[in-house]
Amino acid sequence: MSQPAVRCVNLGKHYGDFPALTGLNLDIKAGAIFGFLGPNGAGKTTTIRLLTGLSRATAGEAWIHGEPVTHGGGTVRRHFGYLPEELHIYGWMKGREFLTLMGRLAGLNGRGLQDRVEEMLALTGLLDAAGRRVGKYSRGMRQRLGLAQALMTHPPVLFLDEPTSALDPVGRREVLGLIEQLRGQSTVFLSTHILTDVERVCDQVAVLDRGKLITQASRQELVERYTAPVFEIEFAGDGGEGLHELKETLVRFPWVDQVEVEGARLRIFASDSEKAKVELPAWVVGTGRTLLRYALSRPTLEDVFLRLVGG
Amino acid sequence: MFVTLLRKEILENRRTHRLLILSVVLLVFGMLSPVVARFTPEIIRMAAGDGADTDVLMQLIADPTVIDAVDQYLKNLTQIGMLVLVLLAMGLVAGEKDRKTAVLLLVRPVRRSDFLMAKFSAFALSLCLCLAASGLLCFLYTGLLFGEWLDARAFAAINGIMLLYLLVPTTLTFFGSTISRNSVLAACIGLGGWMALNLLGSINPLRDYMPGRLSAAAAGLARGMPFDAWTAVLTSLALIIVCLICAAGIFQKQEL
Repeated sequence: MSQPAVRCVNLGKHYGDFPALTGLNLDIKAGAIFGFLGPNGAGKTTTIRLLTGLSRATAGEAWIHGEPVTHGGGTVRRHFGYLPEELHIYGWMKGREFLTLMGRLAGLNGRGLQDRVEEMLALTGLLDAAGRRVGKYSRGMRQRLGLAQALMTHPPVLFLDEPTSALDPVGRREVLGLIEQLRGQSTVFLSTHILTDVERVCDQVAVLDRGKLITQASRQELVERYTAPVFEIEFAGDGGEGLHELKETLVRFPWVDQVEVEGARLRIFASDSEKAKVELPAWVVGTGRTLLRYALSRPTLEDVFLRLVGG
Repeated sequence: MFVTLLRKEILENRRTHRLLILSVVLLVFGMLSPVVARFTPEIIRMAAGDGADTDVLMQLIADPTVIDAVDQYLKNLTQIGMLVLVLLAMGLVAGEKDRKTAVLLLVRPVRRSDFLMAKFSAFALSLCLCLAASGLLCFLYTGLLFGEWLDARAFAAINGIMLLYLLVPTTLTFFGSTISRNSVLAACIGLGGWMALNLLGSINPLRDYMPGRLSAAAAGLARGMPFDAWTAVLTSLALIIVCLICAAGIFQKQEL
């Protein structure tokens, strides 16, 4: 088996008595787009800061492409690109100058450096703005420039900390498109709390909450493992109040795990879907109402996430 | 890597107007010091008006000489010049840490000591160039206004000594800027350290070892006296080196 692109063993970080991250064990396959999910304050940024050597671990160890991560130094920094959550680029510098500087610091030079700078500017759609100072860039343009600098050296591992949270829908789509293009070329460690981004691009997912890893699996596995099917029922002429009465009758069934009323719709989470498939249609008939819609829906990652972090 | 970072710092000093402010301040000193020394007695005479009291007053004020021009130049550098340098140096590292701009550079395979030394070197180089231009201006204006030229070698030596003198509070501020995240705190560390050195310099046995002795030695050179502050030169150089080594050591361990 090939070595993991990123490996953490019992990695931890305490700020005084506060445990920002506890006993993190992770193995990320090379070439994966890895979604690192968690609510705000879960410890996602702390993990990335530890993995990039910006912060010092108080416990455990980490490796990137087999090289140990050390605080403040080490050759391991040749193996990754990094886009921080709070991206601050020198406002006095021009876009092209900034990428040239970042390329030089990563060891590129000469014609190769110039070509790579132009390639990255073209890839991120910044060719026209390359001669302007970064201080004049919009937030989305700065984010794309940040992504370009992270990609400058074809890094085997790319750490992206909330890369889309500050972007409008168009900017988000562009950045996610760029990440998708990296599938199979680089290992992308994507920290985010935006579940739709993870659903769209990630193949591996880990969920972190209050500094602890709750689970790590493929996206599909996670959905299958943690969520029972959801039955959706909609009756004619029901605005909502009647549904709450129906909910009370439903929760008495032993195979019902949870019932949600969403507008004119009932969402039923079943702990035993086979029993539900048999008994639910009979219950519907028993209500004497006109059925508009009856569906067995696929659970979303959001459902899984909310269950895991108790939302 | 150091050269790449040094070029970035020089460009930053230019683009953020740090170099412009420093050059304007020092060039004004170089230009105005001889003018003030030359025309101060005449200004006083005009302000006092005519009368017997004015004659008595003017007899008390000696005719201005080139020495007065150099003294005025040194006074400007040691007072306002030093303050301007502290203000410009206080954000060199603290500003980058506070704005988090250093993060993107330091996750690259860059030595943190290279990052620090490039910053310090670019600033010291800017100071060196601006001081040289200021000294040249002072030399020319003094010669033109007084009709008497300063000894060029002695005046060059005076500027060299002043460069070392000014680098001490600059380095103390740079050290403060490295150990803190706050530019104002960095300025306080720089000024506090400089005041402490000057207080130590007021104690007689320590006087000859303190950097403050350098300005007095520079004034002595202008009067044709031999240079007698080598111990102060060595102390100043040692202080600068120790501050930079400590700053690099502390910065290496800092979380960004």
